[in-house]
Amino acid sequence: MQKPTTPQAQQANQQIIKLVNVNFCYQTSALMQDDEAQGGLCDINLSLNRGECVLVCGESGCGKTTLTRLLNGLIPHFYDGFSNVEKTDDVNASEYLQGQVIVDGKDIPNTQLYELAGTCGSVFQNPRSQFFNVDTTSEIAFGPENLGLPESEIIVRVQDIARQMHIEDLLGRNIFKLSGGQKQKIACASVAALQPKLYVLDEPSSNLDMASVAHLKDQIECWKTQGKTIVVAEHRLHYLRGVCDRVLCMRAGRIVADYSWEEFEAIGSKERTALGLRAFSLDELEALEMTEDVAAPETPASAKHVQAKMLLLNNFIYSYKHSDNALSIPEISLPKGGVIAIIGANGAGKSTFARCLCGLNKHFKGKLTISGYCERRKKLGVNACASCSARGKAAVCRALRESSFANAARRKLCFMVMQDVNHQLFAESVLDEITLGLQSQGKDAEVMANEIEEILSSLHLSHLKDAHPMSLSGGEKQRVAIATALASRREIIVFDEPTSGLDYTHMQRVAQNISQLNELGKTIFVVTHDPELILACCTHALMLQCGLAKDNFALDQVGRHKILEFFKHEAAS
Amino acid sequence: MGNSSNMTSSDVIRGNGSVNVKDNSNTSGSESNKVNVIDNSSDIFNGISEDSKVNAKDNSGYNTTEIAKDNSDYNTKEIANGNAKNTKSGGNSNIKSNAKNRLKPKDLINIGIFTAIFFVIVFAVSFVGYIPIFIPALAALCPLAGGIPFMLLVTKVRKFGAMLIMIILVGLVYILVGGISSWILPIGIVTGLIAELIVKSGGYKSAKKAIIAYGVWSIAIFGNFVPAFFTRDAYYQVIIASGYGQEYADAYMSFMPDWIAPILVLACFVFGCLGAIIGRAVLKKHFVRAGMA
Amino acid sequence: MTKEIFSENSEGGLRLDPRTKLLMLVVISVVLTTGGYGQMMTLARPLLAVMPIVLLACSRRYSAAVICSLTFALAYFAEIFLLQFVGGLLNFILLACVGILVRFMPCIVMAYFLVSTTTVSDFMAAMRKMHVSEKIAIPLSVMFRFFPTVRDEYAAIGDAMRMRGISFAGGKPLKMLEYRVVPMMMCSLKIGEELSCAALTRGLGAPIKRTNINNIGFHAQDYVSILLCAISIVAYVQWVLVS
Repeated sequence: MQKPTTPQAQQANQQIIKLVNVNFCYQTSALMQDDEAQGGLCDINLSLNRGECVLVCGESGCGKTTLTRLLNGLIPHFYDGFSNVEKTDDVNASEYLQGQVIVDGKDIPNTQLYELAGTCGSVFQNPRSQFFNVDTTSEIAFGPENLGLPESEIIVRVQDIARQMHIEDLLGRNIFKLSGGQKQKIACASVAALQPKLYVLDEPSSNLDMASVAHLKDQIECWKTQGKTIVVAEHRLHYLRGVCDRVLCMRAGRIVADYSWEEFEAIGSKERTALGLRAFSLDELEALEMTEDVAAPETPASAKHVQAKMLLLNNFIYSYKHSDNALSIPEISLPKGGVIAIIGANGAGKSTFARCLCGLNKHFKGKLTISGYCERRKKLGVNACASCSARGKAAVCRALRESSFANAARRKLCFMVMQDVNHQLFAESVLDEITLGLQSQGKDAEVMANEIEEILSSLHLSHLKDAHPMSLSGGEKQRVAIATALASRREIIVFDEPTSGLDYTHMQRVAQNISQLNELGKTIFVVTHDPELILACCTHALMLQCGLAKDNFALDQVGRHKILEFFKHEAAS
Repeated sequence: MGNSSNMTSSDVIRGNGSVNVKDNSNTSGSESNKVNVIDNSSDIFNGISEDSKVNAKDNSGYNTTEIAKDNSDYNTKEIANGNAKNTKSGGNSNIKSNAKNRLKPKDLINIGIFTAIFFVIVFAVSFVGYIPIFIPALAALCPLAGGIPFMLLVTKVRKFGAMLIMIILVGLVYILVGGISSWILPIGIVTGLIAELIVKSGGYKSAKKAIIAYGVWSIAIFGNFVPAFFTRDAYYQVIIASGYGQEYADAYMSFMPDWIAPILVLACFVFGCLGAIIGRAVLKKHFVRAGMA
Repeated sequence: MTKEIFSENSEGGLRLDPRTKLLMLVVISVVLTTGGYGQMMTLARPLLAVMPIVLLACSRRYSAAVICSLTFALAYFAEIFLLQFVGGLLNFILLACVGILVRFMPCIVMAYFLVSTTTVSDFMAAMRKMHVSEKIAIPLSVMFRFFPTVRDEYAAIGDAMRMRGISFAGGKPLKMLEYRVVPMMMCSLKIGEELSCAALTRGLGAPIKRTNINNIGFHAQDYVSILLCAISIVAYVQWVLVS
């Protein structure tokens, strides 16, 4: 390629990305379960120079992911759509993408996807579904093999990358057996093998724990020093501090702000939350803690519950086949009626704990015992409970009641809102989904109908009651799952990573929902990596490490500080 | 070393080049593309909208939005790419039909996924066949169970070859898993081709034709039984040799007299159609409402 | 360092070309399940049954090899001796199980060996060398890659059903099928879409000749295996002609 001579040409050469007046709108059935399906892009004008590292942020559905898809060519070659301007039924709505999209001198709509492979490397959100091969080495070699590079060359590249990324120990292993963070590393390596000039990452840290996020940050910094251009669409902003130099804020398909990182940090937390963004850093969270009065999320109701009964977990020892003890808690006592955060690094046993609690692991011998004082008032002459001997009009039975629950019984006691909510939605409309949960309780139709109405309105789902659950956005699906949890009337509800990949507004909503459930007297367990969620709605915390219960404390001021310390420590290691 | 390897891959990439150094030529090029695209699209959309009116009356067509979506697929992607290689002249109908019918990598991946799902479902159902007496029931159960993934595939990949590839894959795997069913492959190639032609004749829009096509396609399942009828003696020996014993073999063979063969073929067809009808109902109830089909 | 990269394959020390493995699978499958006893088959049958186990041992999958040989020995033993002592319905059931094991086990073991020692890239390269069109090679590879995913999704949905207590849907089989199949398909579709994106942005489907870092090709061990297969085929053909 000739060296550009004129200043304009030189500047053009410096520009790796140029978007001019881009408009795009998805077709309704082209996209599955994507929050951005309704959105699209509007009047996007953007230019990026080589070597820049840009963060694209905004609320869910603002168009960040759509923007990344423009850059790597998935729009228009994979996702179909109409131009924003012609959203009518007119047959002339044939232009799917309006405007110019130029990446590294290539006109995207006229360039095939495989031609872009060597220019733009994409890392996606879900490590599980990104890999095409079964073993790691093949996966890293996949891209270059597709482009027909000679074998010797590919081997050299694989070796180089393994050395650079310190993943020599991950070579030659079965991908299905790796942890989430390791999978994401392999995904990055596999993209790096093509030596692209531009890296586009779409919420890469969503499913990762703090330690893996730190590795991801290192990787991005490494690419930066190699002179690559990087575009990251993200919710979790804090790990990109010091890495990104420029920030684009988007809303409703438009770019509403374009800051440098320093300007961005200076906007203050009020404006940040108005933009729907998460905290800039753990230090900021800490500062917030100190300045505001600790808004203890304990409502009077839950405080009362907390004192009344305890959950005693016995013999929570479990290990999966072919591995050592995944969980090893001989005995632990937790407050019934509290909102308990379960934290720990990946592999510490959090998911195992949640599954064992809900009775989903067969051959599990642990027991859950609810003990406390029975507080039911007794009517005259009628025994409230068998072991009670107190009589009289206003006597309160104060006998100690214990009920013990084994595996099968626990399944009726606990409800789990899974990390991938798609696994637990079965019916063809939201209404049927909730009815499914109520059916087994043998109520008559009218009572059921009332209950359903109540549940729907409390979760702001009334307008969606005839929609198919799978057609809703991620946040709405989660609310449907919570609605089914309510309908089941079970006392213990377990949330598995409810806020991974959610923006600030949605995270607050989830926190509100959890608090609402708690006010109804339910005990809530939340398995999470999200410090903001914990500080917003949890009352206690259980810290797991290597399958052992390392710490178990209430979230008063000291406790909250402990939480922040834990996450800071995780990020640093 | 980094530079040289970049050269290699980018040589490859530029080889098929639409790398544009001059912006002007490109925009004018793409503008004429747009002009072509609009003309073609109006043809197709007009054609489709008439058909879709007919279908709407019969209540048996696919959704019009689906049709619109797919045709915009043909228009824009294919032609935009096709035109990069072809001259920008009229005679677009040729380019249209060539580009339209080609299976792209995205479709191939979809075919692989749906065949995997098909297998999981059919395999679970066909465990019944391990009890030899129920082997004939396979003719009914397998086509019935496989209707849902098949209809979904046909909806997503409306190009020539999807069904044919699927039956070839199914046949191949059956050969690998147990030689008895080796006949599924050759029969499947024939029935697959016929099925393709049926669906193509409906312009990939008619649901009725899709149902019939699946019925024909499922006749390949009869390949399970071919040894029993056409190499009767050998099969007889095999059953005895398996240790099932003489009386059992006799009893079994009396269950499967020669005249049952056409009945089994018919069963495959009928239950196939049924399976497709069920598949379509499930599609409408769930997948269309969820926006996935 | 090169050796370490390929540890997954060469951990065995015996690498076979995928085409050889495929040939063996087809031969074992066809000959063992459709062939009978007598003449040269008495030689061919044990030979074919043992081959997969030997291969497993050669590729250092000792535990798998031991388990398979034990199971096979057990089944064979049962077929020859036990059946004489048991009568009636039990006999029939035992007969069926044992018959299936003896006939299908070598196939299954061979299939396991094929799948666990062949990478997707090797497989696609072998397909290309056999001049199988990309239109079949890519879906076939995706299919095998997708089976474990479908299994995982199925398990997760099963868990959710148990948790919500709708495993048996009140006894309506059609509903039960619907609850199991539809969510599995929807999740699979979503994963499929993400898989497509990740593969396509890395150049899958480029009209370029695909390379393969393992550089598959025929070596001594392949020729030996092919010879054994040829012997078995001869035995089978002879048996077919005679009976």
